[in-house]
Amino acid sequence: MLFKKNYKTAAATFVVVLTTGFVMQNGDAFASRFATAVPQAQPKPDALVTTAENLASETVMPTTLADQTGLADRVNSTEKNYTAPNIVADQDFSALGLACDVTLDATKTAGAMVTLEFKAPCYVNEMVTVNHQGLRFTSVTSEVGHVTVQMPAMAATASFDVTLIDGSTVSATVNVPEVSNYDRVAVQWVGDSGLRIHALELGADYGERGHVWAKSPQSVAAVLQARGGYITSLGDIDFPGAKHTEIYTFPSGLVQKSGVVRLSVEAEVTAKTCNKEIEAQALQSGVDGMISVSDLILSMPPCDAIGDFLVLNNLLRDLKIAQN
Amino acid sequence: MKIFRAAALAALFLIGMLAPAMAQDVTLTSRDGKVSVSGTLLSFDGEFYRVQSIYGALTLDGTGVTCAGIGCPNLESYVAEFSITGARSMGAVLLPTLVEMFAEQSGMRVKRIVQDDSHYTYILRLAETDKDIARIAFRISNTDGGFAEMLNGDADMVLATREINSAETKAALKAGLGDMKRAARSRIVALDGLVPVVAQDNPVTTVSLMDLARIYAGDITSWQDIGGPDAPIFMHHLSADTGLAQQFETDVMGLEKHDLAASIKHHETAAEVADAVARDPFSIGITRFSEIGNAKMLTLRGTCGMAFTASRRGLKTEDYPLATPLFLYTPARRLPKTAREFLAFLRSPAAQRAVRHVGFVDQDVTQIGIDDQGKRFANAIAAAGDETRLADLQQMIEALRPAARLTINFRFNTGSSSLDAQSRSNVVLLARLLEAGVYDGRELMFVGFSDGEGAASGNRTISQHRAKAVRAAVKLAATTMKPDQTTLSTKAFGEALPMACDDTEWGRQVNRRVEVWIK
Repeated sequence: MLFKKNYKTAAATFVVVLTTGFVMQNGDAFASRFATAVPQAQPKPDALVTTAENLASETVMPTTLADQTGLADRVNSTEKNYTAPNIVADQDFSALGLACDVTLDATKTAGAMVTLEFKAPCYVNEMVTVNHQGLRFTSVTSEVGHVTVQMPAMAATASFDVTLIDGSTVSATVNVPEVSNYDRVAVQWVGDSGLRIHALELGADYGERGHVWAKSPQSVAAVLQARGGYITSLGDIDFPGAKHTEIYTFPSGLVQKSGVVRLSVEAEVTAKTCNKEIEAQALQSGVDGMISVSDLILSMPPCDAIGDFLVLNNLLRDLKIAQN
Repeated sequence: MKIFRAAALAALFLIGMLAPAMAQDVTLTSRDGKVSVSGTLLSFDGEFYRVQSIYGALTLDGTGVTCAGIGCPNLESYVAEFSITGARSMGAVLLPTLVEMFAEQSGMRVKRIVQDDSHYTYILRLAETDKDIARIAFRISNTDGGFAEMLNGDADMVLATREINSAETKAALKAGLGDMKRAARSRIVALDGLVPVVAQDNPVTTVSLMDLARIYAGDITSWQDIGGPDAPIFMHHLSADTGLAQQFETDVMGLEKHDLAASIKHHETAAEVADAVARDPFSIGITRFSEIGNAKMLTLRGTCGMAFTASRRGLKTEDYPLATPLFLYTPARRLPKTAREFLAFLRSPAAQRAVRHVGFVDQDVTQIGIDDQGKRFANAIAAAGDETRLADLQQMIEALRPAARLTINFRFNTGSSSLDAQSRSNVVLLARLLEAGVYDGRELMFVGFSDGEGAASGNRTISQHRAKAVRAAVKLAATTMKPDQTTLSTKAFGEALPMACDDTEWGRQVNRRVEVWIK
């Protein structure tokens, strides 16, 4: 389902780009791509025939190119029982004629956050896994093969990598020395087990201001004003194998108070999770000062407890804030 | 009886796992084939076989024998199993961190299977081969509960925030678990202390131990009586079955034989006490140094102006009067190899780092320079007079000035010449450091001090005796130390450097001590 939809989208985009003069700018690249791509890729007939007709009727195609490739003949010869390829492009260029190079840029932003820009023009609407110092979550590339995500840095030398479904990986590293002003913890899981971090900041009680969790997540603005912490939820697709992570950030080095942020993890007992074992991970500062990852299996209560929450106070250690 | 039942159960479990519904007959034969023993396999810990033979129960080293028979365990799939029960204050964060650190140091990965905050199991797996090495079951309740499980034969390690009491010791002896008072049966995992706390916005900053006892007895009911506003005092405390509450009972309520008031609100965890107090400016609570939360710690005031604020250093030296070492007890039975390795790890520098990391006080020995002891010397000058003369003080300063005090310190049980638990542990700790050559070429001075009861000259003699006794104990424990490695001298200054007022028994107890100074 997912891939079929991808394919149509890609084909439509192909036309639009052609009619906007893209070819003129990238003539050489386009020509070389087109010369080899059509016979090799042999796209699904109904989709591409439509595309070819559009091309012909709008006569955007440069004549030299048409002469070189003999497009009409090649299109007419495509096989009827062809099945759509997973990846719309050939080895070197996307359906948009963009080079298939996979790139990852990491840029530091305020609050020791990082903006990740992942570009893989030949991987459209594909699941990718983002990894960062033990954090991992699943994202889906956009219709032009991009993923842009704002996420917390977990280390001063913050390395990120994004892995595609075929196992290929790109990496980027950015220095975020401001990380030392923040305490960060995370829980992560696979699928829809829905774990939640609850933070009670410096004496706050449930439901009060200072109770930070997914339903009252606050934002990076809170830490920039040294008011309190915030929750970042990452992993944006509802897919059986999708990886999710939830990160809590507290600006320990910026607040002018001392005390404790109490941390707990809650897991709702649902029809899907009751009586099951949920695999999860907890990330928090290790003895060496780096983030350490612990593997967990949560034995969920039996199904007569549906609607209840398993509340675990000791998976994440409370944060002790000492005023400088 | 109980030990036997536990062993038999363990064996049954093993058999159940490896060879269901089979008899346990084994024949263990020495490698040269000359000796063999047949019988029923009682247990196998990955290293040693215990066999019920015609000669009685025998323990045989697995490396020296081959096993034949249907009862033989599968050596390849052996997984060490042991359980840790007891105090929540230790089991919630401290021990899990130590288990994870131990695994990391041993090249093992861990997985934690969590049922709830009180029940979880660690699986330790060798990273190299992906083979399960150990399963550690945690059952967390409180110190009473931990010892009860041990007496039932259900616990291999007990986490305790107090020393084992005489009733438990007797029961353990009867149950065949050995003499739990012996040094080998317990070790100190970390240090902690009892602290009174109030809300941040409560104006009170100090309380005397006597007043604290009277507040918890219900005799003092208004903040006005201890320098606060005219408002009632609400008391929060740990539940009576926790080791910390029992320690408070002995160390504070016992001072004037007070009973706890019925109006006290009891909580299961120290965090709950701290949170309840932090939210109410009219509340007072008893918590532990490692769990002050968002509350404010009160300084303990002595009657003659000396004050004690809990600190890492004060808990290491026991200069803070309500220090509570955190113990791990093991009954006298053979533990699996991985369990023994874990116990050995607890003494390592890596374990001390982990202890510090999670907010408890470690047992690393540090030095306190003379510049950091100004308050103590000020107290000494203030207390000097007829009995301690200027010449005495000068003599003391001359001896101590070129040296630094170690955080290792020795104190004695109330009204007794026996060392208290932390000090007994310190004997071993210092002996290990001496054996390891940490103080090679240096001089360690064992400096005795006394309380101020009685004549100064007599006190000097007593403190000299104590210093010599402690030195002898350390020498005895440092079996592999060569005679000239480190100079071990003694000095004694009697009542010249008081830490607390002598008008109370606890004050006198704080003053009776042997310090260790390094030159």
